[in-house]
Amino acid sequence: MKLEQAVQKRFINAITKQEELLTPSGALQVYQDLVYYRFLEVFEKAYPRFKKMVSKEKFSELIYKFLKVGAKDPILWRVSGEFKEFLIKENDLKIEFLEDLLEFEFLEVEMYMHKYQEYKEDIFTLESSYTLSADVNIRTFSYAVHHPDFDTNTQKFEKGEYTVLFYYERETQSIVYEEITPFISMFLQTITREQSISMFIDDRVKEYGVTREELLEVLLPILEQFRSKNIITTQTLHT
Amino acid sequence: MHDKCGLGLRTEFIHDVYKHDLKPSWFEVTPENWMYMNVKHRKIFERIVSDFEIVAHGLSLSIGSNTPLDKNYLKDLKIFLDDYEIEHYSEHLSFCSLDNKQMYELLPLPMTYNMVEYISDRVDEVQNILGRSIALENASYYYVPYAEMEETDFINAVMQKSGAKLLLDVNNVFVNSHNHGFNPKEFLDKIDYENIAYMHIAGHIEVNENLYIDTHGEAVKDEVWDLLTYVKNAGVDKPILLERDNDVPNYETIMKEYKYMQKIYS
Repeated sequence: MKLEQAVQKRFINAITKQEELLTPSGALQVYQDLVYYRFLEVFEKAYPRFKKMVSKEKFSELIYKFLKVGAKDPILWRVSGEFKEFLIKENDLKIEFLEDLLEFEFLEVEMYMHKYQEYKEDIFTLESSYTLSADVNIRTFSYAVHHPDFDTNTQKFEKGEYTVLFYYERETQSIVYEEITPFISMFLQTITREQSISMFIDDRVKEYGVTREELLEVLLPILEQFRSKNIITTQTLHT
Repeated sequence: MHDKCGLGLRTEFIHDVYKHDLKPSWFEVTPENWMYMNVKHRKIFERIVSDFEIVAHGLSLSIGSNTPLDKNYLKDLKIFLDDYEIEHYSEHLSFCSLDNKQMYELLPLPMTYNMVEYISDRVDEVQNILGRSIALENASYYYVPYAEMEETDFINAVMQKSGAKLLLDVNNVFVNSHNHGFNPKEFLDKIDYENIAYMHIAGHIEVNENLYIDTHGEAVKDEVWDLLTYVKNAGVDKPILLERDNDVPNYETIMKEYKYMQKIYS
C-alpha cells in the first residue's frame, strides 16, 4: 500500500495547497474548493461574530492555515472546536478578546447539540432543595462578548468580569444567555441537594448581615424563574 | 431491505413530514448529522425514526484511508444504529481522511489490486464492530489519482472480495461519464447487478461543457432519469432513494420529485 498511500498523501497535500500534483489537473481546483467551502460553511455558522470582525481574506487565510494543521474529529460540527483552539494558539490576530469571543460562540454551538434532560414542571418552594442543572453553563468572561452590540461597537465595553448564564429555553427552542451577578453565580454553584433553599438563605443572611426578607425580595422571583426554566433542578428524571 | 422508494431526511423539511399526506416509504439518514443532533430537531427525528423504516448512510468512515479505523467513531455509530434499531448501513467507496487529517469530502481512491485487498479487510473489520453488513457507494470523482484497472472492475472486485453490497448511485455514474468521457450505459452493463443493495439518484450542476459537479443541490436531470430507466429495464429491481443535500426545497416540492421517481420506478 506504499504506492497508494503516497498517491493519496500527495493528493491531500495538493488540496490543502501544500504540494503540487505530479500531473497538474484542472480537477484539483474543484477539490480545493469543495474542501475549503465545507470548512468555511461550518466556521461561518459557528463563529458569525468573529467572522464579522476579520476581513474575508483573513478568514480565508486562517482556514487554509488550519487545513495544513489538519482537522481530527470525524464529526463535522465539532471541528469548530478544533478551529477555536487553533486560532487561540495561533494568536496572529492580536485580538485581546479573541479567546472569550470564540469560547462564547462555540459554547452556543455545543449547547444546541446537547441532549437535554426531560423535566417535569413544578412550583418552586423554599422548603425544597435544588442543584444547578447539568444542562446549563456559567462562564466568566473578561470582555462583554455576550452583548448584542459587542461585534459592532467593541470599544464601548470595558474590560472587566462578566458572568454569563447559558441555558436552553424549551418554549423558544433556543439557547439563551444572560449576564448574572457574581452573587447569583455563587448562589447557583453552591446550592446543594443536602440543604433546602430556606436553610441556604439562612446561612447567607448570617454571612452578609442582611435580613431574610431583604434577601428573599431579591432572590425569590429569580429562583422561581430559574426553576420554571429548569436552570435549577430537583432531580434527574431520565436522560 | 425496503422494496420501494425512499427519501433522504433533511433538517430543512423534517418538521413538515407529518403536515402532508404523501410520505416516502422509507428515509435515509446521515448518522454523523444525527448522532449528536440539534435540540430543535430531536423530537421530530425520534418520531420519524419510530414511524418509518430507516437506512443509515455514513460520510466519515473513510474506508480507503491509511489511518486505522476510528474505534471511538465506530462505537458511537453502533450505539446510534442500535438505539434507533437501524439495520441497514451504507458508506462510500472513497476516503475522506489521511494521517488523521479530516477533509470532510469524498476523495477518489487509487484503483489498484492492493486497494481492493485493503478495503476488503477494512470492510470485514467494520462489519464485525457494527454487527451489520455494509453497502458501499460508487463515488463521483473529478480526478483519478492512480489506476491499475477500470472503475467497473475495481467496484466489482471490491464487492466480490469484501462481500459488501453496492449502493449504486446513478447520478454519480452519469456525472463521471461526462467528466471522464465514457458511456454510462456501457459502464452500467459491466456492473454486477447482483451485488446491488439499493440505489441513489440526485441532481448535479453543469459548470461548463467539460465539468459537471455532483452537488445534490438541483433537481434530477432528465438524462439521469433516463439512466435510471435503463437500469430498471436491465432488470434491476432494488429500492431507490432520492437525495438532496444543498438548496433543499420545501417538503411539498421534493415530494413532487419523489412522486416522479415513483412513477418511473413503479
